[in-house]
Amino acid sequence: MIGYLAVEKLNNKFVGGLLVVDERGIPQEFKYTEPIVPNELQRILYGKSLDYFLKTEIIAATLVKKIEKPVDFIFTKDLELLEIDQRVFYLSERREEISEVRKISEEEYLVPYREGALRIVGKVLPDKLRKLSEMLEEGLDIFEPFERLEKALEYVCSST
Amino acid sequence: MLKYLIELLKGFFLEFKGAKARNVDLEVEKPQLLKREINWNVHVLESSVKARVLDLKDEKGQPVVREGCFRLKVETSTLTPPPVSPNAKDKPPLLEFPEVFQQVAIVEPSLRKVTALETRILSNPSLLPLWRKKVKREARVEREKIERALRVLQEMIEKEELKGVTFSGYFKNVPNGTIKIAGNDLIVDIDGKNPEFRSLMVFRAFTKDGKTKNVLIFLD
Repeated sequence: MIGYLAVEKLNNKFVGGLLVVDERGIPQEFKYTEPIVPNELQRILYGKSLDYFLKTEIIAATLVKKIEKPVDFIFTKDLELLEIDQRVFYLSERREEISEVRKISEEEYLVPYREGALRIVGKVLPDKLRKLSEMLEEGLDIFEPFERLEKALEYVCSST
Repeated sequence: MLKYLIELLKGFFLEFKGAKARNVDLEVEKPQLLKREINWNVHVLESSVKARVLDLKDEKGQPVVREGCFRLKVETSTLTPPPVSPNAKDKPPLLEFPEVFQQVAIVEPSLRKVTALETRILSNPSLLPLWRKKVKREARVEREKIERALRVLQEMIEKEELKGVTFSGYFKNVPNGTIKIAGNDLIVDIDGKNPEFRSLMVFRAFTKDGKTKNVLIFLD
């Protein structure tokens, strides 16, 4: 199973969500936070660290702690969330076409994906990387669940 | 001469016996009574101070502002005035009475946390946006699948007398559900929690009466 983690700032409300889908993209678990609106005093106290602290410590870390399903990966498109848990990996797309998995650095990999490559940042175990490659070959649209997650967070924010 | 002697003797008597006193009047002033009124006013002082305390980090490692009220109460005990000194006129009694107060300070902190960044975690995997999946068009199509689709399309053209057909796209892993075509992609509202997945080829057909319709051909 794959987890997708996102924290958004929508209309000055901070909201985060964690969507777990199976290999076919069917939702298995969805946890989200109540939107947070920091008050003026909190803005003064936290200063420039407010956004970072809210995103990482308060929202993302809490969501990951509450996850129930066993996940192989938790993907995020936000590099700042990488530090909260070892299961969290940063995901981005590269146009560079490769034929096999390539290790760029200690915690950075390129995996063949469609006409380009997938860049994964984080400590990935070799067997997990192999499993991911297989799922991608079978046609997994790895970025698509992010869109559903973002739409779900917009829905949550608009309905509260 | 005799007269002189008598006077001399009288002089001697006066020298040795002194003058004879018959009546002594003594004038004594009445003693002054000191009257002092001592007012023992017992005061209970009570005050409260509102305080805002800034904790740089609480147990969760976040700065917190707490607001509380500290109450200070000072009470006097029973006081027994000392006996008035005989020399009260010279020394005022208050100066001789060093024990003034017993103080009881009561601190009643009622702290209230007013600022803490917290959030509740909610769960709802049934939210509609989570079940609306976008399926992207595949860049490549296997020859075998194209041939199968064309056979189905040929039958349709003959049966429905279509004016023309254009290829829209080939989609893999399309779950069961309501399908909408949005540009080059499909939007599928997934049916059920365990849907079946199929490959799909989409064509646009033009009828003889000038209308267009989408033709979906499932391949699995």
